This record gives sequence, C-alpha cells and structure tokens, in this order.
Amino acid sequence: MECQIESQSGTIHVSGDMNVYAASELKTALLAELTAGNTALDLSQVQEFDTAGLQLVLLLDRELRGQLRIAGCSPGVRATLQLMNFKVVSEAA
Amino acid sequence: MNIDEALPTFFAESAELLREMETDLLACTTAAPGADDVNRIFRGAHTLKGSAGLFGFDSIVEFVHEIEAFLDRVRLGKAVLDSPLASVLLECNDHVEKLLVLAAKDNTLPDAQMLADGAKLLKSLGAEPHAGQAKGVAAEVTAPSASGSWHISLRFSQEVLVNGMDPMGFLRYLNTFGTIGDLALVTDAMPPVAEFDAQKCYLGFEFAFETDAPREKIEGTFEFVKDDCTLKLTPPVSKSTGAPGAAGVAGTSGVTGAAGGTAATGSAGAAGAAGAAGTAGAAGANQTIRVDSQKLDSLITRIGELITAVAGANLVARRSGSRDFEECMANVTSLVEELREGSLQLRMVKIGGTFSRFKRVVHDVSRELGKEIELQVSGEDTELDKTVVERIADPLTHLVRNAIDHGIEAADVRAERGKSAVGTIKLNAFHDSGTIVIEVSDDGGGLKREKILAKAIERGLLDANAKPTDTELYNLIFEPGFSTADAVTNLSGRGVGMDVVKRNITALRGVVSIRSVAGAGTTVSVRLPLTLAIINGFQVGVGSSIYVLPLDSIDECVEFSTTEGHDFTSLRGEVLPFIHLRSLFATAAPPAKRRSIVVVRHGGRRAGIVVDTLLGEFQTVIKPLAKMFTRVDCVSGSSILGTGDVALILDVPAVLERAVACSQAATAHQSDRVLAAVA
Repeated sequence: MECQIESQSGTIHVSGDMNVYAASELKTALLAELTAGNTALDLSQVQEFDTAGLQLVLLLDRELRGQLRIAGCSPGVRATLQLMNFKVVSEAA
Repeated sequence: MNIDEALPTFFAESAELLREMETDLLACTTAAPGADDVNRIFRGAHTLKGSAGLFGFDSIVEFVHEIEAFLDRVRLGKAVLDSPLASVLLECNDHVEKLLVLAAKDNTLPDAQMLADGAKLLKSLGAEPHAGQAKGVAAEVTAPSASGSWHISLRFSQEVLVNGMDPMGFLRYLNTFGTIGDLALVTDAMPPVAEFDAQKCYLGFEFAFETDAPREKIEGTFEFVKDDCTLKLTPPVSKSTGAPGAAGVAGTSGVTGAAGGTAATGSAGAAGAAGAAGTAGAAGANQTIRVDSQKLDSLITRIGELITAVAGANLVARRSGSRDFEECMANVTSLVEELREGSLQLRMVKIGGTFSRFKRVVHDVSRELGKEIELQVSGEDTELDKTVVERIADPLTHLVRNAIDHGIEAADVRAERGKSAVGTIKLNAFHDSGTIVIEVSDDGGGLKREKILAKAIERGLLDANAKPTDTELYNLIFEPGFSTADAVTNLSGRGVGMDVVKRNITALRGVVSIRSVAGAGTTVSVRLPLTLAIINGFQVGVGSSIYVLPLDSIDECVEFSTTEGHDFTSLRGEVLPFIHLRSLFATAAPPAKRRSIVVVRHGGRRAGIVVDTLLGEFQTVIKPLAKMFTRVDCVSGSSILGTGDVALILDVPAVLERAVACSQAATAHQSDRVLAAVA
C-alpha cells in the first residue's frame, strides 16, 4: 500500500505503509513538512510500521530537538512504540 | 541492456524455491512443523517475494506477500500451520507457479479467473485463529514468573533493512516467548539529516528479556540475521530450569493429530497438480543449471593438473621415439585443449549483469545530487571470469559514483558550456589482447590539471617545478588521500576510494588508467585479465631457464639484430625498444649465437624481449608465487612444466615498463658520453 502524507494546521498526517520501501521518499517529504513548520505527527492511518518507519520518527524528533508531538497512533504503531518503551504514546488521541 | 538477462536465473531460482517450500509443506501435512521448518518456508516465501519485486512482477509480489504474512503469523504464534492449512499453502504454491509461468510469457497478467482463485486461496489462509492455539500462547506468556531476566544488547548492520529483514520483527517475535522490558533505543549511530539514508538501519537495542526459554532459543531467533547483527546475551543471575511452554506444545500437536486423516488425501492431490505444473514450467526454465561454484573450481584445478600431466606424457612420447605414441598424444593434447577452453568458458559470464546494476546506482545517485544523467551501456556481451566479475563490481561502482559526482557538472554549468542538460555516463567493455577492458566515461568537466598539480605539490608528491606528463599526473589521483574536490559531498571527495579502487584492480592483476580532456570529459579504463587460472603461454629459453609469456600479449617474433650498444632496433622502420632477458634476470650462461626478439604489446605500447630460444606455445597453469616473492618485479607467477621444472611467468606490463625506461636512460647516457668526448 502506497504511503501518502498531507499536512493540516501543524499536523502531518501519514497514511499507508511506513516501511523500508517508502522510507527514502518519506524522509524527503517529511523533512519538507517539518521545514514548513509542522511539528505534530498523526500516525493513526499507518498500516505497516517497521524499523525504517520508527527511525524516521526518531529522526523527526531529533530535528525538532525532542519537541515532536505524536497526534495519533494506529494500533500497530502503538504496539511498536510501546514495545520501544516510548513515553509519547500517552499523548495519542 | 536490460534486466531481462537475469530473468532466466530468476525463474530457475523461483522454481527451486517453490520446490523446496513444497517439500517442507508436504512434511507439514504429516507432522507438526517445528520452528525451523516454518522459518525455512517463511524464508523461501520472503526471497521469492523479494526477487519477484525486483523484476516488477507485482501480481506475484502481492500474492506471496499474503503467504508471507500468514507464515509470519505462524512464527509469532498467532496462527498454527496445521495440515489443512499446509494443504492450502501447497495450493498457493501451485498458484504462484502458474503466475510464474504467466510472467515468463512476456509478463502476461493473470486473468480474472486466476485472480479469483488466488483470492479464494488467500481467504482460506486468513482463517480464524485456532482455539487450541490461542490457549497455547496464553500459557506461554504467563509462564515465566519464576524465570530470570536476560540482558540483551542488539546491534544491526546498516544493510539489514535492505536485506529484507526488519529488526523490530525479531523483537516482536521475542515477545512471543518472553517479555521485553526496559528497552532503550541506541540512536548514537544516526548520522546528520543530510547523510541519513532512510533505508539503512542505525538503531541499536538494549533491553531486559524475561523468559524461561534456553539461550539457544533466544539465539535461534536471530539466526536469519546472523550475518547482519551482533547479539550480546547476559544471562540472568538465577535461571530456573522449568519445562518451557509445555501447555503450548501439547495444544498444537492435539490439533494436528485430529486433522491428519484429511491431510493425506489433500496433499496427494496437491502434489499431483504441482508435478504437472512443474513439467510445463520446466521447458522454459531448465536451460540453465546452477552449479556450486566450488565444484567448478575443483574441476578447473583438476584440468590444470591434467594439462601438466599431458605435457609430461608428451615429453615421454617424444623421447620414446614411437610415432604411434606421439600421434596418440597429439590427439589427447588437442582434446585436453578443448576441454580447457570449455571448462574455462563455464566460468565465463557476461558483464551485462554487472552493468545493469549500475542503472540503479546512477538513478539513485543522480537523484540525490539533483543531476540528470543518462547511462549508456555497450559491450555488455563481453565475457569474463566469474571471480573477476564479482570482485570488479565494487571498484566499478566507485568509479561510476565518482564520475557522477565529480565528472558531470551541475546543469547550469553545463548550459553555460553549451552542453545538453542531461549528463552522460558510458560504460563500455571489450576484449583486447587477452584482457578485458572496461571503460567508465563521462562527458563532464574533465580533470583539472592545474588543480591536481597544485595539490600534488602541496602534498609533496611532486617537486614544485616538476613537469609531469598528463598520464603521470592523472595517475596521482589514485594516491591514498588525494582529492581535489572543493567540497566533500555525501558520496565522494574525501579522497578515500580511488586508492582502494586501484588496489582492488591491481589485486586482480589489472591496470587502471585515466584519459581526460578538459571540458569534454574523463574516461577511466580498467584492464583486467580474462581469467585467473590458466593461460595460453609462450615459452622462451635463456641459458638453461625457461620463462613463459602470455601468448595473447605477443605480437610476433623476429630475429635479433641491432647496432652494437643500442637498446632498440628497427622493426619495419619503427623504433622498438628492447630488453635482454639475460641481463634482467642476471643469467650467467653466455648468450646463444642466434637470438630472437619477442615483440610484446600491452596497452598500446610495444617492446622487444631478447631471448636465446623460442620454445613455442604451451598451456600454462598459473601457480601464484609464494608471499615471499610478491615483491619480485617482472614476474607474475610460476608454472610447473611437464618435466617437473619450474618456469617463471613474466609480467609483461612490468617488463615493458622497464624496457622503455631502460632505453630512455641509455639514450640519455649516450648523449652524456658524446658530450664528454667533445669536451
């Protein structure tokens, strides 16, 4: 499933697979969104979420000096983030 | 040039994978599969999906992806591969085989009927979880109350994702027989944004793992990624040795036993269908056989020994004076020669396969740098030894990247210089006197002579007032740490690489050279021997020693004639510098009355080698020199003659170099003498 992103009032909405296949394009696109001033990430429409996807989230967070807000998680993403011992999960809508 | 050339291999491999999966699946229909069996099938499906994706067979990828997903559920303990499901998987296998047959016919897309069949199969795979199985998992997860907690430290190689493995998947799998806690991600390895390659893995994991399972089971989890990960296990302080997950095992085997009866008939039918499909597919796929390359190597070694033995037998035949014997031996010799040709041919592969992977490299790199670049490939049918092909890929990649990064100018500069906005990289290969030449050229800015000169002087590689030729100067860029790039980019410019390229090529007995025209482009030529094992040799004698010259490097043999004191002769009106093999190797015996000059050629230059006797053409098995002799100049290897004597194989480029240098030195020396006489 193709991965698509769009941003709305500061939040980047990602839908589709956030995996190694999409990672390179996603990196460019997501960083562009970041530069455009978006600081929250909505992952509630993400299906596949692998290490490459996780890495991208970490990268964005680092770029924002730890200020990245996760605005939503799909159950799969949530499970992964929980496994990774993330505190941000509590913010999920 | 296209990827189609690798297609036969894909179909052959896929058929093989399907066969292996079939065998494993058939086993699953009679007995409950172990974790290893499931892993093996999973791996098969995974590989199949990966390579189908490479060739753009989306229908196969989509279908196999579902199979893989199901198998993954089995691995995670969320589904049980019992015998009815194994039968369904077998049918899926057959379906994939049909898809492959379609794909082989010019990538025909499956019709509606087939798509419906496929969907039905997948639907039966996505079956609701088994009751018995769910209980098993529950039992396993709650079990490890008495167990200790391991500390696991995991690091992955950067390529692990590209290799199709997901580190997270392994953690999820660990969670099926234990509990991961206190996980800390190690992100130190994550490079700055610009260098961050989203397809590389930079993460490390440190966590506590509570489980009853033995060390082997934890280690076994990572068996797939053995090569791509470093695993450090610190055992718990106190470790209980209770029976692990007994409830789970019992639950599973119960289900399998009940379904055993129906499975037998189901699997037999499936096997029959698979057989029929197999023969249909075989006609197309069986034109290539994949052979273990070690078998091939040992065959070639044997043939090398056979050649030596035949040479010995020939000698005996000649000594015996029996004509019949000699005639027989002549027959044997010519057959052995054909055998040698044939067996070496087995190792020969077309370089096109290697070239085609550069399409991807060019695509990626040009996108990264924002340059538009077209790759032109020619000579892709040129064949060379497989071991050479394998070892040349990396240096070539480097050259191509370099050409894109340094060679091709940015679009605006190109427009200014009146070139088309699209840069061109050319890859070319051809045979030239027993060697293969691979050229990487670009139509970029060319090497900047002044810049290289300044840099070389700055680094003390040249005198401040040196006047090097273009060739000498360009060769300097192969010096370690030499870079004239204004800016270090992600790709190149750090001065690391060109020296490695040269070292790799030299290790293959190859030579690398550069031609460049300022403003018009640069061409890097790599010249490599066709094979590393056996050559057609030409034997020459000096005194009592015998030397071998690669036949392909010899132009002709002429009678020795020269003016006393000269180190060159006239070859049909052209100056031919020569070198006495006698003085090169300091042979003590007096020179023979009639001497000959062997004219050798390499890389467009010619020189003569003066020898006592010409012994003729022999097949020569190259034995590499012992480490002790690697620094010996002008000798590239040795060979054992039929008589048991050792002959040295001359390193023609080195000898040529010396002959040319000698004759230049001699000319200089002579003019000194003339001057002295005048004074």
